[in-house]
Amino acid sequence: MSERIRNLSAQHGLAEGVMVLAIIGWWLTARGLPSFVLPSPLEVGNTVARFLLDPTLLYHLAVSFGRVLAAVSLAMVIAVLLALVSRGSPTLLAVLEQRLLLVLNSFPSVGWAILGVIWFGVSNPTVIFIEVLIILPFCLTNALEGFRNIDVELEEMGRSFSRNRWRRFTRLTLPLVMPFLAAGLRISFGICWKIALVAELFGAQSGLGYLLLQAQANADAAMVFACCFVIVIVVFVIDGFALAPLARAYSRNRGIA
Amino acid sequence: MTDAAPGVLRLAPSRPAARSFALHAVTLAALLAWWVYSLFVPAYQIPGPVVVARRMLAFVTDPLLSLQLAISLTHAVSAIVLAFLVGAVLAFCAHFLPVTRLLIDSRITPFLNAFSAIGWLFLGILWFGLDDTTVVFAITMILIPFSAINLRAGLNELDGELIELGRSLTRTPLRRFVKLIVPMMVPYVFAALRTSFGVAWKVTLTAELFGGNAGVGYILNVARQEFDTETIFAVILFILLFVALMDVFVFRPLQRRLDRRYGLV
Repeated sequence: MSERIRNLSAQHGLAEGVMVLAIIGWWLTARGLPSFVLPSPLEVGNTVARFLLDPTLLYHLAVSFGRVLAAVSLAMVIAVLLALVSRGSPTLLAVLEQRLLLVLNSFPSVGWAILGVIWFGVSNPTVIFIEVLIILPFCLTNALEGFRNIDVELEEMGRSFSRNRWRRFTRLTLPLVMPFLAAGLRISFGICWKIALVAELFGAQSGLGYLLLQAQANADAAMVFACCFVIVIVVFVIDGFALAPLARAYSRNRGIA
Repeated sequence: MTDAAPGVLRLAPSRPAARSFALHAVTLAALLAWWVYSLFVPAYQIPGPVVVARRMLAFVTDPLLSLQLAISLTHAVSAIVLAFLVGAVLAFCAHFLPVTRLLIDSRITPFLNAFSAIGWLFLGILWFGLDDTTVVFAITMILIPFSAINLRAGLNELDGELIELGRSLTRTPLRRFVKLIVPMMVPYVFAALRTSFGVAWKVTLTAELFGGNAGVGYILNVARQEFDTETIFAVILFILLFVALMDVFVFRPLQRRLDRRYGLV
């Protein structure tokens, strides 16, 4: 036991030590370089802190957050509806998997961004449209996988308990696919912040993507760094406090780790 | 019962055929819908399939344009290889040096996994300017966590008893590594490469568009500024066809073979 604790504290020591060393190394390197190439950790920290105080920055962050939330929910609803519709028919399932999913998976994300702006102009719905199309394949893959893994015998049993389709759906089907949906939610939330943010470079006059673009154009490296760290923090916090517990709760319900 | 049997027999073989018929019908219907819709919409919004096909043909025959396709492919492949190497170093360090496990599994990998693609891209532009280094750097940084996570999962699932057995058969760690660990890792290496390939194409064009001076993404940027929607459609269709064909003809057959050989991992 004490061996394990010593082992763990060594791991913690190394992990924290390397982080501190990395920040010191960054600080030392930044001292010799102009701040548009590498801003010092202090400068970046100040800019990150401004995100909590400055109402304009807070507004941009909130706008991005709202769009990501809307896009993820919309994509998940579409994915579940498509998966539900295709359940009865193998042909439809084949069309979904071998045509729709194949095309969505192979579609370059920047392609949606450019086309979205050409078709709908610069607006909030455009950004959400682009983000939904980028994350839809991830949601759809998970939803289809979830419905495919439902135990047919459990469904049979459900049918013998209740004739009400809605009730069977909410009490039986939904809990059974929930682990897969939760996993899909986690993946698409991450992808939305990491990759789908490109939508805001083309299709918006607000949001973190727009801030990044402005900062890059003004060679404001501290702001570029700060935006990146804010994204990392948002993804960590939401994933750690909302999505990971959700996934855990449902996987415990199923009795598998 | 006896009456139904021939019917079932007749149905069973025809079903896959019916399904593939439905698949082609959907493809045709989509093309037709595109064509009809393009008749009513201005060409700068949605150009018709015929114009786009002609533009794609021009791409293939023009050596300058196919060179750009080749450049994009080089960007993507070098980033995949680099990211795989870095990811492998991270995963093996975490597995064989337990001291580094916390650092890698709960500091480095989650951090890289949460870092935005556009962030890496803009940092690359600040550090390296607009060139190939920036593009490859941005794609590599995005791909590293995918490789690291897949390989780490593989190392976690390594069969401890088989390793025990290996230890009783040979004392050379290198030999155990090559003969035992590497073969057991094959499905995970494949998964890492397959995921990387898919994600790489999603970000390569973005990276080239903002941070490059060559490649298909650069062409896309020029076309976007000139509202040359035909070229945009042609480029997207090229990428779409390339990635889809790779998936259908390379990755899926390989995956099936691996599944057969290694069971359902």
